[in-house]
Amino acid sequence: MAVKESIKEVTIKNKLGLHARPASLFVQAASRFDSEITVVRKDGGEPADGKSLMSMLILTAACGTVLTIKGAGQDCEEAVRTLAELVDRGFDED
Amino acid sequence: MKKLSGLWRNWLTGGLMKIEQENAAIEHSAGQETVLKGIAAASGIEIGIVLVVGNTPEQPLSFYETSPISISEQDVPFELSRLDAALETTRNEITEIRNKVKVSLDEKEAGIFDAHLLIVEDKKLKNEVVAGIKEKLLSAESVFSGVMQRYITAISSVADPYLKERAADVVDVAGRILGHLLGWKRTLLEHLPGQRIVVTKELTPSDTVMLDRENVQAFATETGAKTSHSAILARSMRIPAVVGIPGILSKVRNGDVMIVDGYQGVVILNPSPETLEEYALKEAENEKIYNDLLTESGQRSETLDGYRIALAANLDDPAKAVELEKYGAFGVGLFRTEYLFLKDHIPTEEEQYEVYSTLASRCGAAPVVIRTLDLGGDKISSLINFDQEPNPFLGLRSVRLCLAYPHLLKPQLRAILRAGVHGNICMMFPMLTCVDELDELLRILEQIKEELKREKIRFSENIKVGVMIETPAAALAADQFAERCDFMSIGTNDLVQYTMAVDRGNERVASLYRPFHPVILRLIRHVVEAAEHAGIWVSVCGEMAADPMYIPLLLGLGIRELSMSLVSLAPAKHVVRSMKYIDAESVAERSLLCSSHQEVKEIAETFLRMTARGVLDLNIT
Repeated sequence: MAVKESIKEVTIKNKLGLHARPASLFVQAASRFDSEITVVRKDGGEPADGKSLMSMLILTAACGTVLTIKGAGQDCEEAVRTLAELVDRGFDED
Repeated sequence: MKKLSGLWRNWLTGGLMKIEQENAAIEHSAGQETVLKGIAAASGIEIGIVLVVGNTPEQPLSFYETSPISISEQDVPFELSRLDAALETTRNEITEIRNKVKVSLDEKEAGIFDAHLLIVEDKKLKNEVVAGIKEKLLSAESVFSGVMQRYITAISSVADPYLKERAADVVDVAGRILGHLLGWKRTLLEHLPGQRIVVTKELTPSDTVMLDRENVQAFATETGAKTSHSAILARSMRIPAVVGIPGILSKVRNGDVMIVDGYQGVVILNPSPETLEEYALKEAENEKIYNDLLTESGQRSETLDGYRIALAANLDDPAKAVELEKYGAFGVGLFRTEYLFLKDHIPTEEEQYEVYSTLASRCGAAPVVIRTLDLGGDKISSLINFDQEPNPFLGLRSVRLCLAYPHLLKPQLRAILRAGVHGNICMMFPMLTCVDELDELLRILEQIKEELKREKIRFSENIKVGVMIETPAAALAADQFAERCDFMSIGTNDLVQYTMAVDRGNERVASLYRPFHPVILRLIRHVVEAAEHAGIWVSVCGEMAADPMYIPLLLGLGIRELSMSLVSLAPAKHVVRSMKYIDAESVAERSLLCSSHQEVKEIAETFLRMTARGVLDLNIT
C-alpha cells in the first residue's frame, strides 16, 4: 500500500521569521506525529527535515517566505494541518 | 589551533563582554572596596578588569575553529563516547538554566532554551557528526566544529537581519558543546576577550601553553604558593601575580575592576578613586627603577673585587633568544623542552632539530643548555598515556619517564646531537637520583652517536653532557655524578621541595618550603665542592638564582653561574656588580652555621640592604 501523503503551502507571517524559537515550536509539534515531515522553500533549495531544528534553521525562512509542508505517513493529514496552523498563527509571536 | 576570525570572533568577544557586564551588574551592585590578602608571587602592579577562568561553564561561551585532529580506527568508540558525554552535559546544563529562568521570567522567554535543547538533541546533527568521526577518522571536536560551521555559515549568509542575528543561538550552543569537548578552561584561556586580569584556582603548565599571553595583565589565584606554576609563569612574563588568596573565586565576578599588587601580595576589588591614584603613582615609580637597571644590562657581570659571574637565561621559546642581549644574558642556561610536548602531537626529530638548531645559531658562541624532556609530576601532556599515580612527584616523571619510554627520548637526543653542529649546545638530564640512571642514559647516547655515524649524519661528537641536581640523593652523590659528566646544574625548586618534603603548590604547607634553610645551603655547598674536586662547572638554574636575596649567598657558596628568566637578569646583574665576592663568602660561611631559615634570611637581607638596596625595594621576584 502506498504511503499516505499530505501537502500544504504556508507563508511565514511573524516578523522575525523562522528563527530558533519558532523553529523549535515547529520541531516540537512535528515530533508528536509519526509521519515524516519535510519542509521546502517554494523558491527552491534543499528540503528540510521537519523534526530537526538545525535542518529547519538553515531554511532561513524570513517573514514572507512561502514554504511547502509535506507529511508522509498514517497521521500526515492531522500533522500537516496542525503545523500549517502554527505557521499561520505566526507562532504566537507578534 | 587557528583562531576564528570575522563574525564569530566579533560575536564571541561581544558575547563575552555582554555576559561580563550582566554578571557584574546582577551580582555586584555595590562597588565596595575590598582588600584580599594572598602571597606575593610576582612583583608589579596592574589595574584591570577581571576574567574568572574556571573549569565549569558558569562562564562565557566561545566557539572556535579547531585544526582537524586525526584519530585511528580504534579511537572511534572513544571519540563517540566523548561526543555523547559532551551532549549529555550540555543538555543538563541548559535544562538547569531553563528551569531557573522559568521561575524568574515568563514561559515564552524560557522558550529560547527549549530551542537550545532541541539543537543538543537534534538527531540529524548528531548523525552527521557520528558519520564524520567514523568516515573521516577525525576527533569529535574537529568534526563537530566543521559541521556546526557549515550550519552557522548557512544561517548567517541570509539577508534578513533578524534571522542572521539569531545565528547567535546556534553559536551559543555550539560553543557550549565544544567547551565540554575541549575543556572550558582551555577554551577561555586561549581566547581572552581583551586585556584581563585572570582569576582562577590555579594554572597548570598545559594551561599556560594555551594562554593568550598578549592579553594577560596579571594573575590572581585561589591556591598556590610563590613557587607554583602561575607564579613562575608570571615572573617570566614579567606580569604581577598574587597567589593563595583564599575564597577569591567566590568574591569576584567577571567585569569587576581589580588592582593586583604583586609587591604586597594583595588584590583590591572595586578600588576607590583615591586608591587608584595611589597605585598609579607606585606603578610609575617601579617602572622607573626597573628601566634604570635595564640600562646597566650591557655592563660586565663582575663583582667589585673582580670575580666574573656568568648570568644566563632560562628560556622555553626559541624566539626569545633575540632578547638575550637586551637583558644582558650570556647564553641560555636552561632551555626547557616540555612545551614542545604539550601541543597537539609528539614533536618529531626533525621538528625538534629545527627548534634546537635555530636556537643554537641565534646564540652564536654562547652556550645553550638544552634540558631533555622533564614531564610528569604536575606537567602532564595529553599526548602521553599517564597512568593515574597516587603521588606523581614521587612517580614516573622526568628522566624516569624517558627511560621507560625510549621513543620519547631517542628522537630528542638525536635532534640535540645534530643541532650541536650549529652552535655551542650542551645537553642536560633532569631529575636524576642514582648514578646508574646516568650510566644508562650515557649508554643510550653512545648508541645514538653510533647510529648517526652509520647513517652518515653530521652531529656534535663531543657535546657536553650535564646533570641537574634536584634531589637530595643526587646532591649527596654529587661526587659520583661529577666523575661521569661535564657539568652540573642545581635545580633549586625541586631540590628544596624534596629536601623539605613540601609540595610547593600546597598553600597549607607552603610556609615550610624554605630555600633559606641551612640544610639547603649545605647541600649546595656539597655539590660545589664535588664539582671543584672533579674540575667541572656548576650552576644554579632554579628560582633561587633569580632572587637578589639569594645571589650573594649562592656566590659565596662558590657558584659562578646563575640562570634565570630574562626579566630577572638586570636586577641580578646589579646585585653582582654591587658586592664583593670576599664579603659574599663570609655571608655564606655565617649562614652555614645557622640553625634556622630566619637567621639565614636576616643575614642575607642585611647584606643586600648594605650593597644593593634599590633592588630590595624593587622586590623583583
